Amino acid sequence: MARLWGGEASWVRGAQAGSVPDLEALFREHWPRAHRAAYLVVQDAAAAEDIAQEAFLAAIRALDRFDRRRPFGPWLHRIVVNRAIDWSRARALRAEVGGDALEERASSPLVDAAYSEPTAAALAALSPEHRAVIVLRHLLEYTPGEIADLLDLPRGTVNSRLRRGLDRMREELPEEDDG
Amino acid sequence: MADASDLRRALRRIQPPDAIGAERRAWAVVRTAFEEREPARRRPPQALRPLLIAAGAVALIAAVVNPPVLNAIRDAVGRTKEKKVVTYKQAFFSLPAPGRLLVNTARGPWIIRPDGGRRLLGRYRDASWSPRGLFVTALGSHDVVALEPNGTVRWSLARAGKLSFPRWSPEVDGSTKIAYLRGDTLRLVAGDGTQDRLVDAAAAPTAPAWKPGGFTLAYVGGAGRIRVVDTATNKLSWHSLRLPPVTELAWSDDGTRLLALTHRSLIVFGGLRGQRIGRAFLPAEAVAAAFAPGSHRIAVLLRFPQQSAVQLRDGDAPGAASRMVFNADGRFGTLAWSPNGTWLLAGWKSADAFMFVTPKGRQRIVGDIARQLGAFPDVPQAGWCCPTG
Repeated sequence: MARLWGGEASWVRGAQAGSVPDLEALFREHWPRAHRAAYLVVQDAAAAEDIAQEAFLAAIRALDRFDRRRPFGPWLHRIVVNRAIDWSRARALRAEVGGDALEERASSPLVDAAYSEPTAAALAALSPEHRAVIVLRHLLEYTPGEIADLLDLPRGTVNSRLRRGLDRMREELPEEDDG
Repeated sequence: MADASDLRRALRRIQPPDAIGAERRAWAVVRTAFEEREPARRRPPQALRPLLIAAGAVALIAAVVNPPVLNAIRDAVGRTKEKKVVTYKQAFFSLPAPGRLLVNTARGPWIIRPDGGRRLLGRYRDASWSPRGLFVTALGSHDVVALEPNGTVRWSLARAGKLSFPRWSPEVDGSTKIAYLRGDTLRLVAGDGTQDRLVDAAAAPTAPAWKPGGFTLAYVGGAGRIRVVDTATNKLSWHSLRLPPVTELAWSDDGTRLLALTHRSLIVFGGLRGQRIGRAFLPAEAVAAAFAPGSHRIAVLLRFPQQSAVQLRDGDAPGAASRMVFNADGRFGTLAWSPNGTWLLAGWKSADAFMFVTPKGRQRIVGDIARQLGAFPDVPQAGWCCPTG
């Protein structure tokens, strides 16, 4: 992210001054990873779109207070991943409460049939908290210390979740065929 | 997954479905939100806002006895972005478009004819039209009623508990149904007052909406999801994700779009499978929304702390930039399109006036509403029905 830093600070400054092109540059730079991170944590396309979109809106609302000396990405990713974890927890809670028979009969178009790629399926076997640290570490490339800051967790907890998450994913993935 | 770099590559290969569309929609929403935060800074100083509201109200009251005060009203509405043509009327000499207007007030529902004649239907509430405007359904103290437009009761169905939101279905092979809420339950009764039955034991307090052309009904379930049900077969066609509290549901005339209004957002779904077309995050409290007849254009009534506004949005891209049709100080409380889609009614409660506007900016104001109707309409949705009626 260092190579972007000069440009990014300038985009933030421009956006704070009301420049739409600078805001768009920030958006185009950060949307794909924010959206993908949300999707990998919540595994629901509509929810991921909402979460990433609302994270950007939250960022806009707080833009005037944003410290330009800090990078924009971690600020955004903190919002995205924490909201994605909250959403996943809430969904799990609703599943426990249960829906009625009418709903169960419905075929929901919002269930993502495309979520079948082996790595994605292995990720889906994890809890949202474990998915979040895997995504932050291996997609967004934060260090365990940075992840601990982003999620307000002890570093030891982050390391433990990373280790257990990766172990579980290995168990879930099919054996590789060298032949 | 041999090592960390393999995992990184694998994660990067996973694309959310419709990633390009999601980015396009999100950018439209983000850009709109970004642009709309600017006007807020240019609003009048806080100390002046009460004066502006008072000026608007006083101007309209004065206009009853002093029509030249029209210039003051022009000043009040002149802050909109486009050139307007304003006509002021003291009374309902006529409606600006064909059709009859049904509005709900604290005294009861009124029907206003195109020539300005009006009739109070009685001590009912929450009235709405039947599909061809031949009847009205409403609520009495403890009953659902079907009325003729002259106020004659055709039938009445007594039910205990809190009743709300009776809505008449389209006509299919000569039969109709009325959906209504009883407490937290959604029920159906045939258009002749028979066959009352339960549809869902858990419904949220939002008016159900019939899809044009059939017996498909959209409502908000107890879990906060929109559900679209074929009431002829009792099968669920689709449901949404859980949403913030939905205050209004409405279908486009062609049944291919369903709008859901929440406190601060407008969400549009595809009518057939429920795919989300888009979402607009609104800059103020959303009071009401309505599809223009025969199109996917959506009028949205917004209430800022000191002002109100009517925006037009594209139902095929609701998050894209909106167009302001009208804004003024004070509170708007009612919204309806004329049946031919040429005029919009916005009830301007703080000015005791009905504001009729066209999407191109013509305006017509009818004042002194509370005196004429006994009370100002208190329900956001009004019914402007049926050009042949």
